[in-house]
Amino acid sequence: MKKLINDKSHFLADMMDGLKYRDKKIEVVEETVVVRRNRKTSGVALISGGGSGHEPAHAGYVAEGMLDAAVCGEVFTSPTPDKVLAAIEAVDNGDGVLLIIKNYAGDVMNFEMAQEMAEANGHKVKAVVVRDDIAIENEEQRRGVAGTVLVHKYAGFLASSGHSLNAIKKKVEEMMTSLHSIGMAIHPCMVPTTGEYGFDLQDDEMEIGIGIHGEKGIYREKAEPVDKIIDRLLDELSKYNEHDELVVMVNGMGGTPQSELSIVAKYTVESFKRRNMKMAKLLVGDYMTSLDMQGFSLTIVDASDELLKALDAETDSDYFN
Amino acid sequence: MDAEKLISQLHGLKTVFDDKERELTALDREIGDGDHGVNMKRGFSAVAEKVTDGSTQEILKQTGMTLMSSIGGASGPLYGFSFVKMSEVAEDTIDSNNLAEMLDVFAKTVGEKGKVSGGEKTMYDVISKTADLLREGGSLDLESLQALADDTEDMIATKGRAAYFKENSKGTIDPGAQSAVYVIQALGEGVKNG
Repeated sequence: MKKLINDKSHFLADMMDGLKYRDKKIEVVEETVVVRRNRKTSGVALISGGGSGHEPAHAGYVAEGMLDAAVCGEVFTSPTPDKVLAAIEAVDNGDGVLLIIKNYAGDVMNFEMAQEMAEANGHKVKAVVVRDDIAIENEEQRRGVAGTVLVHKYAGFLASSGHSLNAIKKKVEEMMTSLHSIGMAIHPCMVPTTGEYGFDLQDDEMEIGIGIHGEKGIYREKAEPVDKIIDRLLDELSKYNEHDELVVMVNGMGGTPQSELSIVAKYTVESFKRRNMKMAKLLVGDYMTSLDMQGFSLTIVDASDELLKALDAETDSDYFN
Repeated sequence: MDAEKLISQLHGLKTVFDDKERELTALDREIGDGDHGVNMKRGFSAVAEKVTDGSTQEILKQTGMTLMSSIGGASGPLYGFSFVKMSEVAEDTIDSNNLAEMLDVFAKTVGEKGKVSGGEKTMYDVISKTADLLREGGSLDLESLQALADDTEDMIATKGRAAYFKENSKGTIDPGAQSAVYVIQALGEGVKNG
């Protein structure tokens, strides 16, 4: 394994230290909890987090207009309840806390345990669970993937606008009913803590329906030109959204060159036109990655006026634009 | 098994998971995200470092809290909370009957927290069968425990990350079931050897 690391068991600690030097707007408390240096004194606080390896998620979205805290776990491993509790205690200003959880057994268990502990200490805490990955048929089991970043931005806007905890939870849950994603990879990620690839893929193969933890996809095919791949993904996605105007996110998996992401963007726009589907907004970039995996995911969500306003609202995150 | 023996058994798990890291990681790579070995190793290294004395109840509780704050993932709360719960029924000296009682609590906790029942290809499939195995006079040795984990090989996962693979999860032993073999083996060995 060749990786730009010193010691695989210090991966998280070294990354946290580096983040502090890179971004002067944040500080790190309790070793792995990223909070804003200028903490909010009023308004609902938003906390997300999960295993590391998805950068810039989630620490990169700790910024005005988005998250108040991100709890960073080991690579691809949910953070523990004590750290989530520390985050709640660090950012709750009395107006309550919303936990934004990606739907993985570990994340849900650890965050819910922290929620119970925080409630016992007198904090008002609610949670939303993102399940946007349609590669998983069973709705209850669907994973939370790139769409989570749109949830951060939407909820961040709602919190900045002064909405209550209950109102934000309700609006976000409504928005999530039309939030759908699917991903693919042409090269698996190398997991630095194990020194192994997440899965093995032949040179001429691609994996459809990958998650963001280096886990295998749902099926495997011979690699195709990118327009065919996009059609394949949009065929699946368009089953779920009937609204005629959509927000679209083209998300790089971490090891995909920006040039190729632009090419994906082009053919996604063309496929939309052919299908007579309207694109109200297009976001392209590395939002929710899987270490150095080469591939991309597409996320779509119904474009309501409020959501569009939220996505265009200012944030001082360096990673959302 | 008195407090001293319990500590030495739990500390011994650090070496066990050092040895088994790659095996667990290989299983997890097939049907999960390939880090179960690393996580268990981190958890029991922390136990060896932080849990150093106390009564059996205190040791089990501290082990649980340590696992909960060091393993992460789904295994962290499941193993962690289970040890905390087992501490509530443990006696000062744990004999075979008391261990069976603890294992009932272990299974109940995993079942409730993980919202899982038998046959779903998880650690529950090993843990839930061990109390009866012990009561029926069986031994919690590696062979009998491994047989329980081996049974998960042909099951189809419906919980945890392996559930994403549905039918394709067949053919691999569940990594959580495999790590449960080592944890319970350590407890069983402690009781057997006094």
